[in-house]
Amino acid sequence: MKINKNGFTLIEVLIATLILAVAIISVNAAFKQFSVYKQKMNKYKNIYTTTLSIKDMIENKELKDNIQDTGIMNGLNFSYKVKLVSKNRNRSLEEGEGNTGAFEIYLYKINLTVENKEYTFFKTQYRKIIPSEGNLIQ
Amino acid sequence: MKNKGFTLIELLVSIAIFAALISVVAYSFRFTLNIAKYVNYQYAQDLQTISKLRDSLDSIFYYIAQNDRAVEVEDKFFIFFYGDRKEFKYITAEPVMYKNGTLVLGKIYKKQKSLVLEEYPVYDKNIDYKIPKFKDIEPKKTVLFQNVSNVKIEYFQGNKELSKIKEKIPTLIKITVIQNKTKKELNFRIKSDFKQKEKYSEELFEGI
Repeated sequence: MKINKNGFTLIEVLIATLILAVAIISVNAAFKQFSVYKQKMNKYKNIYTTTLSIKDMIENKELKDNIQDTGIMNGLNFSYKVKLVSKNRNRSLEEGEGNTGAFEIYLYKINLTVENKEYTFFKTQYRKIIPSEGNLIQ
Repeated sequence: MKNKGFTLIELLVSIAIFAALISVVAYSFRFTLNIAKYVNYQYAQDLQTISKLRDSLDSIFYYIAQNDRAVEVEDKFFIFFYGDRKEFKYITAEPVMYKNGTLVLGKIYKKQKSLVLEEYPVYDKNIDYKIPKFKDIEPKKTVLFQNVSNVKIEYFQGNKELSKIKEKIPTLIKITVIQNKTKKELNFRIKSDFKQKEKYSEELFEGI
């Protein structure tokens, strides 16, 4: 067998390099896009689960009008503000004795901000008022 | 100038190399186009499990179990819920793995390096529905978190924190996991306000 010892011409080397470069660039681009997308989805997943966790934590608290707080959960900054929307009182009446107590229902609006994104939700809260002796609840 | 052309071997090798390169490029291109599908599928499954768990815990059932020593003891009935720092057991009407509406016994605990959820149907022939206990039946299992090195579970009844809870339903369950050296916190609220309302109303109108 005859072996060509002249080596490759410049054109041959350039074409081979070009083909290899196209292959490397396309594989690299796909990998880069994959990792960027994965990071984005990780962030989205964290925001989704954390926001619901913060919501549950706030809902578990005894809320009052005009309270606000800030904090960090799972690496995300959050703040919230509570506003009383409406309240109603059901009185318990006994004949000849007047009120024996009241049952109050509060509706709160909560504005929650997680990583500069705003969310709004509502919570109803109940409270029982028992009058001290001799005092009637109006 | 050499005018001999290529040998058959040279031609075959170059075609093989070219074909391999084209395949790699074509696969990468296709992968790039479908990247959202591949990644979304994995995350959608993870998020679906967590969302289902959230609904499941929110639907924790006020299951009144019956004590097996009912004649001897005063407290004949009790609410089925047990929890400590490492695990908790509950009964829910909205399971993660079973069909919606099936009453199941759920158990969340750390097994090896994962936080797992096990579910047993309450009305299974191997379980006494009056006193639900884990017997020798194969539960349905799902992994909630992988690569977990530590788990801490806390319970709240309003603002009151409890390290252990027995036969009472908490209003909030806080699960803290150390996953891949990162601390993750998840809160699950059990809405029991309607019970509170009911209790208050009953007390209030008792005298009328």
